[in-house]
Amino acid sequence: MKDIVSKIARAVIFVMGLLLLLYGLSRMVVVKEKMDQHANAIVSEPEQTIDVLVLGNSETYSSVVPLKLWEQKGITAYCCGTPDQRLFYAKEFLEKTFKNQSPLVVMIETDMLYNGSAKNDEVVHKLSTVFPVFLYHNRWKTLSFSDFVHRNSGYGVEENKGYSYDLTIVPASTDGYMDPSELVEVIPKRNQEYIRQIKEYCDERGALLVLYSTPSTVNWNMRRHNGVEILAEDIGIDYVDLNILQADVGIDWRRDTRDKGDHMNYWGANKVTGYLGEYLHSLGILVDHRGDERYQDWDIYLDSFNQQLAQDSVE
Amino acid sequence: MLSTILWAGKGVSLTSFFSVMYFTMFLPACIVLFALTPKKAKKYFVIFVSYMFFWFISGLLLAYLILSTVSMYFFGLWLSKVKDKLKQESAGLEKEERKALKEKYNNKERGIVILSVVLHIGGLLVLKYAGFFSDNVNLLLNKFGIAGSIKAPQFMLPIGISFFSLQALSYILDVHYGKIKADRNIGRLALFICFFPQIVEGPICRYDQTANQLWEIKQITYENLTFGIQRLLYGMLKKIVVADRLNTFVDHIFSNYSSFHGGVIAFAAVAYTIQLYMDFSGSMDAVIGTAQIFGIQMPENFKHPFFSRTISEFWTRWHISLGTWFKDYIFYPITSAKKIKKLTSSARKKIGNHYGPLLAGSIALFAVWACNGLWHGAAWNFIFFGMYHFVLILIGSLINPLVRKTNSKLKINPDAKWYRAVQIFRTCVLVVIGELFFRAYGLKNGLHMFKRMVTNFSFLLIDETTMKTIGVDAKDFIIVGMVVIIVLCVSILSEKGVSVRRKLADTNIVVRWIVLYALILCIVVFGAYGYGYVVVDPLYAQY
Repeated sequence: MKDIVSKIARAVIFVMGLLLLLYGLSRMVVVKEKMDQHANAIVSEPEQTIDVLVLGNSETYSSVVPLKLWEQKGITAYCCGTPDQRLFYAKEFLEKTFKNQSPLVVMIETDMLYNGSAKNDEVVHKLSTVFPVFLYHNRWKTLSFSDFVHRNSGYGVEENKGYSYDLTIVPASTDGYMDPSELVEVIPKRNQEYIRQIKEYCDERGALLVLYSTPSTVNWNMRRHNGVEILAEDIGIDYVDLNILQADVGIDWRRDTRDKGDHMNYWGANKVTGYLGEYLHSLGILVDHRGDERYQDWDIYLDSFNQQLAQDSVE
Repeated sequence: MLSTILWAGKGVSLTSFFSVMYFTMFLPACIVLFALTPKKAKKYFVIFVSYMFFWFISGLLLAYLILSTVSMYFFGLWLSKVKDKLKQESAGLEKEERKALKEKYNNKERGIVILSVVLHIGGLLVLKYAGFFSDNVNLLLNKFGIAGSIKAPQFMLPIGISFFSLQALSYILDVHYGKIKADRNIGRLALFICFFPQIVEGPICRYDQTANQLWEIKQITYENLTFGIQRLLYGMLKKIVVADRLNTFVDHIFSNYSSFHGGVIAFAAVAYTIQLYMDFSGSMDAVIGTAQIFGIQMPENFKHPFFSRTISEFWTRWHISLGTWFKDYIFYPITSAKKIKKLTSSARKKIGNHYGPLLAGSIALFAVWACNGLWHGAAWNFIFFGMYHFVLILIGSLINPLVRKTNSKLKINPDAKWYRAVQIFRTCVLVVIGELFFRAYGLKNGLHMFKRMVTNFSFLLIDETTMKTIGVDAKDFIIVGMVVIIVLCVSILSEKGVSVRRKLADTNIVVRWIVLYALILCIVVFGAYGYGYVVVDPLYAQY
């Protein structure tokens, strides 16, 4: 009996020691930089000021320019896009946002609907909320002493509201892009289930859920369009595919992409934002906040953005 | 929870021993529930969780595993019945009559065995190779101007079919050869074939190695638990830190070899050989470690193959269970066939005691390596891989007397350290070349890569920018190098008969815990998982 108690005690102490070490390591790796800083900074936005929340992977923060949406329509939008975002992570951003915001429209970029959302990723993600080392472990490559001296605290306000500014131009070939097809690429069932849950969550909070597809010659095709259309019809939500509407959007694949059609550059993003602005305006549920004192910071950020743009364009 | 289980049935959650779901949920749950299960029900519990494991990965294809179990059970009983009948009928008969009767029943047994081979190997052939055969028949027909288009149906392959089919067949053949008695307990057979740690990548166990151990499975002991977990962690270190980290580099070079000079291709071939070894032997550590937790002693599948002095020695140290399977069920039956024996004795008279048996042996060797190549996959590069090793082993045997003679004339001691080092280096080079063809996307690409390696050997077309594009840097290789050195040291000690785990267990608790913490944290921090990495399922699980 004494032997068993001693073995159990040893095992417990060993596990506790391990948890302590994981905690210490987590502290070490998170000092480098807050992960997904641009998206997470939504928590620093003044309460109840964001009307449109945009979720998705790199397609999102490459194609929606919230400050331009503000300039054109007075709509306050925020891009919570992160590289290779999965739907379970998008759902987390949604819930995080609704803690101090009440967006009227939630837009989901559809590229991530086709990214397998394996249970394994979810478990690692959950683990990383307790021990961030599981998420940031690869930072050992870039850690230096100064990272421990100058620690980050909080997220701070994100001036571009999640948009990732890029003026690079690398033209795309459009061979085979959006060729007609009756075939359907079925969205993984787990992802369909996530969209239904997000829809339910939005419905309960009076937000309108919209699916949209960013123009991309690399990631999008008719089979995927058909797949998303079926899902959107099935759950009764709007689906705006800018690939189908590329003529209306005015995409020029010779100058509007930064990496051969995978992502938009600023020029493409500006066109996408212009089109989405018209669409959002047409919904008739969003208020033009321009001139409202509460939102004067948006004008300051817009001026700074436009100045930067003018300067870069000249160069 | 129910939906998780159902999704899992479609193979998206529990992909291998290294999936997070496996080692954070499935395995801990199995250990706890197994420990709580009453002694008499433990074996049934293991059957249940093994089927669950299979279901999580292959869903309804579980039917193949069950069919395999049922068929081996009935074939075993059928063979046993024939054997019993022969015994009964031959009692009291004269020698000549007994011989005739034995011949008759042997033929009957052979018929049963052929039927079982057709069922197990035929099934495997149809499922795995139908596409390959039909493509090549079509190609051949087209060459002769016949517009042929045989369309082979596409089948979904259950996980581990290449492993459990051979394991099932080995049981039937062992019953036939009289090595074991047919088992009348279908539960024991089911457990022997479905035990979850071995189902994905083997080892291909024999009935007399694990069946009774499994059926008499006992309570988990503290030593088995700790030793098993240590072995499992060691496997994870090899797989997640080394093999998966190398995958990004290897995959890029093999996919875009035409953009690189021969030196880079050679480096990628070495990297792939390390990746494959760390992946497969790491998986075997996980298998053996998991089995040990439950008190089951699984046979080793690797024995430090890179210390081999010849290619034939290499294959007695690499994927041992497959090698011995081919030896016992292909090589020996062929060499002991009457016609081959006759050929051996006549060749012995004509070309001597060394080359005579070699001639007959080479026929069996050819069959073994043709099967070995094909077993790995339905593609010409795998067949080439098999033939490459056949030729190397054959050449080794042919020149062996000459080498011995030369050594003795030059007064070279074949056991000298430098001589052994040269032999080991030569074997490693030959293995790496073989693996280059094994990994290449098709035989044509393999030949092009080899040509580039020989005719254009330089490292010119790789720089820091290219490495950045690939997604690896010097730090990745430093980590890989450090773990490879650790594995090498453990292997050297093990080769000298030192058990590192036993040594560790004998040290004081502080040292022990420091080593274990270092091992775990090394996997957590340096493991190639999460954002930026593709999940790499165990490489041998696809064969």
